[in-house]
Amino acid sequence: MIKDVLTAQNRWLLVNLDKLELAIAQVTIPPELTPYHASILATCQHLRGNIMQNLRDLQVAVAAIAEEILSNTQAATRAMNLMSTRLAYPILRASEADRLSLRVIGWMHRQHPETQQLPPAFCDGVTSVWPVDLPIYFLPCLDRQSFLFQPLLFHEFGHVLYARHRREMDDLVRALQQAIGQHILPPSSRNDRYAPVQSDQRQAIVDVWYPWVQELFCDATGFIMGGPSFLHAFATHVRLLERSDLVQLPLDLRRSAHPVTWLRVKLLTEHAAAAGFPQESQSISNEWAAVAHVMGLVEDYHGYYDSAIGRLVTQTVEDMVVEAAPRPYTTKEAEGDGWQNDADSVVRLLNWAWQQYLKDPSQYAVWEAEAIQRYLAEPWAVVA
Amino acid sequence: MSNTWLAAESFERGQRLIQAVNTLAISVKLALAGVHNPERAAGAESARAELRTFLGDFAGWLAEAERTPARVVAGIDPRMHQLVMVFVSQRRRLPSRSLLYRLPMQHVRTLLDAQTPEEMQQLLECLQELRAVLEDHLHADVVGLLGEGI
Repeated sequence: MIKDVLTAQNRWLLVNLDKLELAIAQVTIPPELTPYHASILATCQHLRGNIMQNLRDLQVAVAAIAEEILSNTQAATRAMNLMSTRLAYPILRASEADRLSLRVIGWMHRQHPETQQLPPAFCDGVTSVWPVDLPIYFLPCLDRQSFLFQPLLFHEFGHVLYARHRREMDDLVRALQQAIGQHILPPSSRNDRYAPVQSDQRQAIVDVWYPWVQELFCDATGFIMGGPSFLHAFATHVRLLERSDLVQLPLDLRRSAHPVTWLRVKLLTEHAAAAGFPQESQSISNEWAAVAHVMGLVEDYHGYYDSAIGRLVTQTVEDMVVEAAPRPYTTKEAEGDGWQNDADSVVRLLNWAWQQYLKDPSQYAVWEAEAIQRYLAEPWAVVA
Repeated sequence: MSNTWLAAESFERGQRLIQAVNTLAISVKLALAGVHNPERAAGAESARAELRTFLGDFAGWLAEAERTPARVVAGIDPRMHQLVMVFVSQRRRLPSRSLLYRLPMQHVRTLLDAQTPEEMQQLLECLQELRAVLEDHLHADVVGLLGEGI
């Protein structure tokens, strides 16, 4: 009976894979997506190999391996679902409007030996990345068509760099978490029924710093790669000005994979001010302080952050940056104005775009449309 | 800037580990049945290497989590931390329901190179339980990435 069920499911997977491969092969894609297209077809071939192996295993007259074939069939089904609902999406819904982001992603990947072989892939969605074997970047559909929010991809690239340096990065995070654990250790331990509660709270604070410090490293990576363009893109992107961007309840902090936005803005503006952009940094800090004042809010991190933790975190982020070595912007790139499409990197163009926008938002759309055309006119293979 | 990166990484890791468990288990079962296949032996060796690394790391995290008085576990992502805590709670249950939770994790790791039929049976018992716990754990990542569907 189980043999029949598994045979039927694996055959069904093959039928679906045939359909998916056909759809992938027939779709028209922009040239920037060609490497990802080839990688996804290779992934489909790998999945086909797994399904065929399941069918061969079903012919082996050893009943004892039925549970492994079942588990492998379930794994193939999950892989197929992921392929059809997510991984193939950048190809199946590809459009000309993806080209700008694909070029930025391709440029980022080429700057680092660990990522230069990774094909650029992009999809609509909440700004994020899946930093897996074949990373997919996401931006909202409006943001993908503008220079202004492309620098957010530098933050997302930080997650990819982290994944490529995982062992060393995890060691640094581990040392940070241990130092925070020591810092929040009470001078005396309880020996009553509240002791486990106290210990649980401590573990919660230590736990959140795993994703939080990765996010702060990604913020630092964004600024190091994009310079002021990242600072402006980030500050504008997170300017939701919700109460939860400034303060959060302890339970929400415990569940959150990101530090409170106000704290991220503070750390980023400190970084940017130290790097030579004090005016821009001050202006952003003032905006946040004004909103907090109107809402009557003061900083309160409920023990999850204080100045001592801040010093530990800053040092760890600096060490992480040394380990991952994101490509830093140059002085010329930060200057922006004067970008040449055959000589300068996209970083200079993105900084120029923000200068244009801040100078006169009403004229920006016209300038941007022409600049995007010039940028995309470069042959894909020779984009700096 | 969402946190799907945690689910995506955990999903990929879970899928890889489950496939390694299955590859090794099939190879051991076929060996016990007297079926020898050099192609499978090569696959089993890769699976062993994958699981050896994982169990080596996992043994360290588990030891940290079980240290008393309760100390913090550091340097692992929240999803992996949840998996460690599943093991901690299973190992405290009496009577222990599986060899995977009764044996020291380093011993489980050495069983990956099982030679005798008895050791192979022990390895299979551990792999079976490990697969079950990994599949349970993977569910949250699948929901995080793909939603719950219809």
